Amino acid sequence: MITLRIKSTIACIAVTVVLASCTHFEDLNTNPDGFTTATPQMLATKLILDITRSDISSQKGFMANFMRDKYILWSEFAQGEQYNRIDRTSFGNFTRLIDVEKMIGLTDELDQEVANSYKGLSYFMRAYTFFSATMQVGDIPYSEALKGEREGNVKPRYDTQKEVFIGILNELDEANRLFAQGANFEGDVIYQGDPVKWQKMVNSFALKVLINLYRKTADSDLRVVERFNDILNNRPIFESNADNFQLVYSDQENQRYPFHKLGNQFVIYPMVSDILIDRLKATNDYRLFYYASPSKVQLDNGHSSSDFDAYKGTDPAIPYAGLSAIHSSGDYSGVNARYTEIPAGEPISLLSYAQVQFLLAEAAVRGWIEGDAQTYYAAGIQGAMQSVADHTPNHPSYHHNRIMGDAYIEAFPATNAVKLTGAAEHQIEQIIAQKYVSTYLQSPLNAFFENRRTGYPEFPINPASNENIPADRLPIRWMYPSDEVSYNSENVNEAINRQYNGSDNVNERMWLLKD
Amino acid sequence: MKQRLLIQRLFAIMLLAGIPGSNMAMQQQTVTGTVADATDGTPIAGVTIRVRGTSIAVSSADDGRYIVTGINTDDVLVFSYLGYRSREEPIEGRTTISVQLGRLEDVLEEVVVTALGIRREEKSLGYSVQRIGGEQVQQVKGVDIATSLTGKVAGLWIQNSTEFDESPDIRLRGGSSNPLLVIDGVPYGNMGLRQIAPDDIESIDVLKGATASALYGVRGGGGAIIVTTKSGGNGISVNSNNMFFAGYLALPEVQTSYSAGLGGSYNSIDYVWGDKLDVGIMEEQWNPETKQFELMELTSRGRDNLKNFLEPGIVTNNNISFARSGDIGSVRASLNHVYNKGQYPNLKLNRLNATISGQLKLSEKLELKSHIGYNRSMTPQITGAGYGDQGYIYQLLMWTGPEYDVTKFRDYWVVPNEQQNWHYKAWYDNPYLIAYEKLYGRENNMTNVNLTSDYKPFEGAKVTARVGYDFYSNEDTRRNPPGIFSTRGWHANGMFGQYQSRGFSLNTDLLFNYGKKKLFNTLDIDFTAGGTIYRYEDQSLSGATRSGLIVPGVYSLNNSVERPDVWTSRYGKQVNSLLGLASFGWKDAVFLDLTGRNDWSSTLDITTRSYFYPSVSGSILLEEFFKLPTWVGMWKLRGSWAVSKQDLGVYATNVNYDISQGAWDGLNTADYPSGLNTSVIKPQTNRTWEAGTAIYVLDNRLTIDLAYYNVFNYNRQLSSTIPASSGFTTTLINTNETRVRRGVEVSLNAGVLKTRNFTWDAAVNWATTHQYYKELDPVYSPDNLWTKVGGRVDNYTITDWLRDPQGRVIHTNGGLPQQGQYASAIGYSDPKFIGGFTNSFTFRDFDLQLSFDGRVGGLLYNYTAYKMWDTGSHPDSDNQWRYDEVVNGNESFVGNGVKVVSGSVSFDPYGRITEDTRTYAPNDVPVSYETYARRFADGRFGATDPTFIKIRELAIGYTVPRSLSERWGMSRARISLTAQNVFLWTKDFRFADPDWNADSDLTSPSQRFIGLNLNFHLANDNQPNN
Repeated sequence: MITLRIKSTIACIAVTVVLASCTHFEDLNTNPDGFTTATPQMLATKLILDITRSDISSQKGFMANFMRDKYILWSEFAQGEQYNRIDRTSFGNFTRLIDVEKMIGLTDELDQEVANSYKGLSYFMRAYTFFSATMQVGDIPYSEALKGEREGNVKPRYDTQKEVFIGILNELDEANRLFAQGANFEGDVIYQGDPVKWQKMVNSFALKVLINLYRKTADSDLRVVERFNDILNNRPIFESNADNFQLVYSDQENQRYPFHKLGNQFVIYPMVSDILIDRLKATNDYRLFYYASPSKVQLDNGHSSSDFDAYKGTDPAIPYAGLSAIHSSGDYSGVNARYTEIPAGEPISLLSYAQVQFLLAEAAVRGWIEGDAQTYYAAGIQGAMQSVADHTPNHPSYHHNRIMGDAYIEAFPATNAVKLTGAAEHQIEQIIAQKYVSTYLQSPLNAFFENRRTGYPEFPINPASNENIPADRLPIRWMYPSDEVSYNSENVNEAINRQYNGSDNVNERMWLLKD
Repeated sequence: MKQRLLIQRLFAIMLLAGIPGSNMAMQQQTVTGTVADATDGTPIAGVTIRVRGTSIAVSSADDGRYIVTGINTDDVLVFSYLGYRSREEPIEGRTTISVQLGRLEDVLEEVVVTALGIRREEKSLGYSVQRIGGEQVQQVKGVDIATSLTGKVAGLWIQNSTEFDESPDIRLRGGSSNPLLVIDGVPYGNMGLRQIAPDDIESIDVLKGATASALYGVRGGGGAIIVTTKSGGNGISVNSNNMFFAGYLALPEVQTSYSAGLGGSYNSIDYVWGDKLDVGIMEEQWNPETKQFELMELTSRGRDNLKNFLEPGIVTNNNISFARSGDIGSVRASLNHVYNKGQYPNLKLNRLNATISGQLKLSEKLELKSHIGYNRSMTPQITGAGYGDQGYIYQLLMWTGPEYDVTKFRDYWVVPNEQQNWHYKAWYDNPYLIAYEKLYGRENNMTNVNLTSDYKPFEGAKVTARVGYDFYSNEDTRRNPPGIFSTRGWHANGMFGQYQSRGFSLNTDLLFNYGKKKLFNTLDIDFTAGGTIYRYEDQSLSGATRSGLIVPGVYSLNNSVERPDVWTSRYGKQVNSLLGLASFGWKDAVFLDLTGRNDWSSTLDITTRSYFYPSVSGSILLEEFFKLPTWVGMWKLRGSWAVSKQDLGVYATNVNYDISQGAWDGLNTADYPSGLNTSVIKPQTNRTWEAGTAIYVLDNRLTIDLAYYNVFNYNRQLSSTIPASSGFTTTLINTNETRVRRGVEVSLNAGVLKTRNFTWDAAVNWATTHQYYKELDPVYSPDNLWTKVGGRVDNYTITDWLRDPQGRVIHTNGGLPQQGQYASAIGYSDPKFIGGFTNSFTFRDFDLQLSFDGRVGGLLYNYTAYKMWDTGSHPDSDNQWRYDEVVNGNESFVGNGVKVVSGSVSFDPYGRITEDTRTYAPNDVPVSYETYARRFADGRFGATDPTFIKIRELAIGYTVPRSLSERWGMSRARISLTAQNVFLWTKDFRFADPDWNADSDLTSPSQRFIGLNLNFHLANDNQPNN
């Protein structure tokens, strides 16, 4: 009897404790330090910092893109980026676009005009992200992308690159429309929430997308030239450096210039390429003294740091052993001290007034638009120079006493070595070359894509150092991401088959690059 | 209200039933007798004779005689002695009881401790258990007990780290790290083997399969290590083991012919591909004594920099314990101190462990046991290892040259707290500055309490209530001065960080047990049922300076340039369980166990929260049924089948934005998680079956135990990769990809030689285990060439060099090896097998213990050897090509392989060749040796066979004859020479000890320790003079 009573007592206690505790289980498994919601401002700041601070990266990651752009050589070892090795890319940035959707979901309670601005930002973020991805690989998931949570689609199909470009252009149109009806919004570290500036950015960016389609002007679905003119004539675009889409750095934790020396041991490795330095020398461009540092050997040889001859660029295609020997000898130009010594460095733009002027100049040369190519070209050069001058403290170690004053900047574009001359193709070469000079340590990968698109400025190919196969060519695309190959193989293989005959090869020519 | 009434009633019952029991009439009596060896009949001295259920205990005298007084007629005497199997004798009114004890090799009769603290005879178990006596971890006492267990249990893979203050990694049957640890019946949440003093250990039982630990739920899903601590005893014991550095088992070597620099020219910036040393070349170099640059010859004066920087290690492990047993109980107190001086300067660990345990017999029916422990471990510095954290091997060996003498840099400041006495301006720091100024300090405190009450309401029944609680409170601190260059994880402007964490685990059991023997004369039954609640909470609060220190030299959060960063976390979990165990024994020949357990876990959704899992196991003794050859003593077959189920991690289904405070100009950011969460996840299920046999032959001189097991995982909870184009990178699901693990374990125990004066006992353990894909998930299994049904899961993949059809490396036009763009599997990472071999010799009063262990096969990243090719410090790079290039300026090296003459190749998306028109010629392009060596290195991207054999421990002991030691007032005195980590042989692995199954972060030098052990016992036995 007693046994039974004790047994039942134990059972009762056990069951009671179990059941009583279960009711607290939800509380116990809810993170008291977790956030189940956010504000549109927090998401907007995150998104804007994603495409600026995060993508610009820092230290070596910052310089890596400029090795592809052939501005920078890397003396640490035979860096793949410098020697034209391209492997797989990642679509990891697509996950940011979920923040876009969450941000829109949080705008319901906002003032309609403020909500419009956040929505405009959303369309821009999507267009920007999809553009970056398709430029690397070709076809990408677009219409079925981002539906992992909403529709449970974890294997999105791929759209053709043409469909993606139409989508991007339409989304930019939508962004323009919404910003035009927008009000100032919070969380914007670039334009402080000014919808007009964003409208200019969206449209300027659309121009950049369109110029990339210059081989597709005959395509009636795209209406490249018509769209270009519509934007130029009817919508606001960048009007000065004040409109630049650029991140301004400062002397605070996580806000310092990406190559500032603090905690950055990579400052000992970069060398500046002769593609840049020789062009600056050939045009008597004072930006040489703002971009680079003089060769120690040339200074020892008696050259002053304000002599053009004190600067020595290095061939980015030289085999590593040779590069290393030059680095050891000290006879090379490194990056200017302002990039490593000044915590704020200079602002880094993803799209600048100068770049927009250059692409207008190109459109003029190509006959897409009315207007004088030289005028746009001069405005671009002057804008670029002004930006450098504005962000360089007046100290000899940063400009080496070759100060770019207003008069110099005013006169420079018309100098013989610079002004547009010759046939259209030559003029385009000049324009792209000046754009190249303007995006030194700016707009990462811009120079790589411009070179791929136009061939300018010419990047040297040295079969002895080139890591691409075949060694007499430069690679022109990235391979598809490994998570796509492993976890979305049916769809990515379909895209590879239809574009590249089954070979996910870095030398294959995507639709955009075909005439 | 009702609940409280119930509890009151239960207490009332316990009081009524228990306390009056102590008033029961007892007939006091005395028992005498002798104890002898069952094999040769010689008397055994020092046998402990305990009265079961009490704390009365005496020892047998030299002639084996004993006398116990003041006991009851229905008491049971328990005879136990090291190396012999225990024996129980009910008094049943007898006054003389003489017994013979069997040697321990008759392990089949041995009683082991199983789940929930239930003691069982091994023969009745349907699963694999291996027992280690406490004495096996008390001879050579290192920093960790686990080190002494290495190789001693089949299927228990213990990886010993060479890093300071790093606990060994323990895996059972290829499972995840650190199987459940149960101490005196309590599965604590935070206690580790490190928190137990070796001298407190009575025995360790390793329950290997899920069956063994079915009753512990998923925490025991990978097996359990059951530690039973000592209780009772009499007198004072001292066990002191002090060991000192005696050479290295694995120490990286470097070339000493070339200086720091690149391209064959000296600089103190980076790399070790510089100028030829010791040939009279003069360079501006830093003089650490005058603290300025001076023109000096480049010499190899730092050829032994790492060795000179290293300091001899020390391990001391000292214990003193006191115990006293009496009529109503016993008490034991133990104090343990461990001191460990690491191989780098300023690494010094002090660990204190204090325990008090006691037993109190309140009545015949009620007994209380308790164990309280406190642990404190402190070290001012743990940093200095690793590549990622820029440790000393990274600094001294990998990346700085042999042309400076590190010992001249002991005075590490030029300007205190501001400028170091050093010649590098990037990446590297004065190692002495790192040792004494870049500090990562650690202080850990842990307390554990166990209170157990056993109440016997009536014959055969027992109610056990047990509470086990542990609580930890830890603080780490990190600080560095401004101006350092090895800033990965630190701050160039100086920093201070304070990281506090604390938490507890609480395990409460209430169990009812009823057993009856010889039911219907043939059947033994035993039932256990009860409930258990396991809860833990962890929290942390941390802060660190931001943007540097305002005033150098003041290490405080108050000294932060910007507002300090603060972060916090809180975690908690509870699992409630009901469980039952039914055991049946038929004629002592057939045994059957059934278990069942139902869990309710706080980490699962309400719809999947409750889950049940059963097990069944059995054994059969063949000699009871068949006539076996006479040389076979016993032959047991066993088998089991068990299911265990696993819940989720804490907050695994929470969907929380990732918040970053003050991300930019005071603006905060939020980021939606990139992991997709489904809130309803089923528990993961692991089904294990196991079959085994144990054979005892040649008068039990040889025992063989074989086990085969098969673990099938399904409903696996997986944070599966999904393509980022879905907007997410992972999704938490129950995948349909299933896996099966199969393994075999063999253990042999042999009394190889046995003469009157000399014995040799040996044990061999061998185990192999691999996991395979059984079914693939069409959505969530990756589509690649090595994930396939029936294939192993531990594939080692690299992106290999391009090779021609003969496997020769293809070179570029520039004469360099060309790396492909597709990953391929080149082998497996798990060992083919692991094993151990332990020997014990005795000769008169001398004894010798010698244990070996090792692994065979698999691939391991030998980063220490691999990375030196890149940095230029690899000793094999000191060859004629390097000399020719540096000294003569000739690039004369031609890579071994081919070059493509014509044609091209295309690949499908998996990297398989679809079309190949390439033709080849031998590579004949001379290149820079430096460039080639840095790229090609060992040609295998560091993938190396880590096969090794190690002499783990050696002890040569002398036991002072009792006649002599008693004259000194000691009942036992022993002195021994002890050694740990004695010898290492590796097949291919270089410069690092592959014992720890990873060299991806540069393994610190592996040290040999040799020392002295003193062990004595001052008896204060309460035995009458006889």
